[in-house]
Amino acid sequence: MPCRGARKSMCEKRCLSPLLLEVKNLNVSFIDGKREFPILRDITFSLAKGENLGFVGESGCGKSMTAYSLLRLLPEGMKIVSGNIIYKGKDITKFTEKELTGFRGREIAMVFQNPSMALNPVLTVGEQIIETMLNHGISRREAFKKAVSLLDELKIAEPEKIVKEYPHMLSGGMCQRVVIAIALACEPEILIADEPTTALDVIVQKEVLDIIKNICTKRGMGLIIVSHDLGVISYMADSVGVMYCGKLIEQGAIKDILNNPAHPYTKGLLAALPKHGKELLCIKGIVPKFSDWTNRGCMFFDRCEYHDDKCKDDFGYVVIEQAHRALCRKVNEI
Amino acid sequence: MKIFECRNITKTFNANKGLSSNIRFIKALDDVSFELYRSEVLGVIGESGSGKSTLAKIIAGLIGGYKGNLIFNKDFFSAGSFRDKRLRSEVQIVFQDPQASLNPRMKVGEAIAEPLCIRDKWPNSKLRFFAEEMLENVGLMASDYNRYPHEFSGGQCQRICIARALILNPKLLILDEPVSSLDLSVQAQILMLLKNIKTKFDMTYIFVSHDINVIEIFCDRLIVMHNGNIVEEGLVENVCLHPKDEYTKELISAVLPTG
Repeated sequence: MPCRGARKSMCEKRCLSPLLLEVKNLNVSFIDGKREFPILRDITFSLAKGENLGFVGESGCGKSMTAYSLLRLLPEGMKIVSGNIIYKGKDITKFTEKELTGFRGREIAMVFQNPSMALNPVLTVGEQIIETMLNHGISRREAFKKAVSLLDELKIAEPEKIVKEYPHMLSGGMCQRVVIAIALACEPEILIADEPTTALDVIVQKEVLDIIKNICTKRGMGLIIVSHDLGVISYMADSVGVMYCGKLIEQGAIKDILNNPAHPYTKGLLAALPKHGKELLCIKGIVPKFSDWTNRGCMFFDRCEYHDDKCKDDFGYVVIEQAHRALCRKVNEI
Repeated sequence: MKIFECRNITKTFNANKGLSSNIRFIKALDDVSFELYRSEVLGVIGESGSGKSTLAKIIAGLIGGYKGNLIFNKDFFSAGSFRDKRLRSEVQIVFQDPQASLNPRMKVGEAIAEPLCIRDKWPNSKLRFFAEEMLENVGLMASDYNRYPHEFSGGQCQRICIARALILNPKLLILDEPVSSLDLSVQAQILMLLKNIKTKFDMTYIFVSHDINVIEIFCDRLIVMHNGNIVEEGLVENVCLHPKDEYTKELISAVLPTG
């Protein structure tokens, strides 16, 4: 593919920083008539080449929305209100629809949660893998050859046979590998995996995670993995962002977050993790609904045992160590 | 003291779909036998399709047409008597998806009182009293009686399902993946609630799950299922630390470590 090589070198020249992706103060809102509900607030993170970044949090905290906004795939009613998503020096938030079509799949690709929902039941697996490649100007024959080699790379036995089969003939783990193959078809620079193994069994989960991990290392891709499962995140990610009510409440290397959590919510989450020989503790209360999210102060206020009145005012991140920061003003006291 | 026994349960499903003429059968359970002792928590683990949910439903009396016997308190219940009313109020079940197992048009209080209403045909005021008491037992408020399921979160709905299962004062509660659709912090809340209820009402649990971490902290004994067979059985510590069967070894090695 000569066009691809040319494009790559152009990008390399333009690219001054080693960062692939930089998200700055991203704010996303759900707009319902005149009312506006904040969904993501001041999300700031960056991803370097070959880095594995994880987002963890409970359902409804905005981790999937963060992933969707990177591809500008937000559902109807959701809008990026402010902030920038800089990919190789270009701002994705300012892309036109046409630019986005060339961008999605080729630069950043996504693996969705439920493989049986992400695949079209009336098309063969092969057709679906080559579809993206055809859209990006690769000939049919070449695309088909590549689809077979992709499936082979993903450790599917008899790939020549599998490409001619329909999704219902495959197991859940096989379907998820096909979805991964679709995402990898155009050799993206960043792979986003949104709960890639939630629908799978434990044994298959590990196989699929290993495949994603190996391929990312082999191709030097950046990986953004979104999951509610701390086990998956700690297995896959180098650095992690903990999300709560649309905010990144703690960021840092996975080791720091697991061994030395700073935010009371992260501490609570780790204590609630079932583990043998450890007393199970739970966070009282429930995650507030997005319509109750306030713009001021700490959203964990009601559930936090360390809170005082000043927590209701705004405050910034507290840096604990290099690259480890938390959105809690009492970090140093607790 | 032995409270319950499964003896040689075999269940075959007809897997014929559509118009094809060749009849296929799937053996969901193949000669499954185990015993259950009073006040213990028996974990059942296996991947999807291993027959663990079928087993749970057979014990709860929701599936008939099986071979073998269920023995509850020395009473025999064979497949023909699976709808037996005595078994119904002694064995109750909590399902995986709490929102799907509540009727959206029914007030939660009525949903909780319904089993009592069917069994004892009491006047409404009496039913209400018991339902409100049960709501408080599971950590909700008596005033929640008149609310509808959609007003509650997933964890709260699961509390309601637990209340509904407890209202007949059963001896055995089957928990079919009770926390797998819940968030981590809520999962811990529900597990603690179940622990408290167990001591308060002196219950025996069968805990079906695919999550070995939850089984490890919650159960006393464990059976591992694979393709409709029990491949390993024993105390949780023994099975988790020194698995003997190949499949169990694979299952335990696939658990992702945290921290």
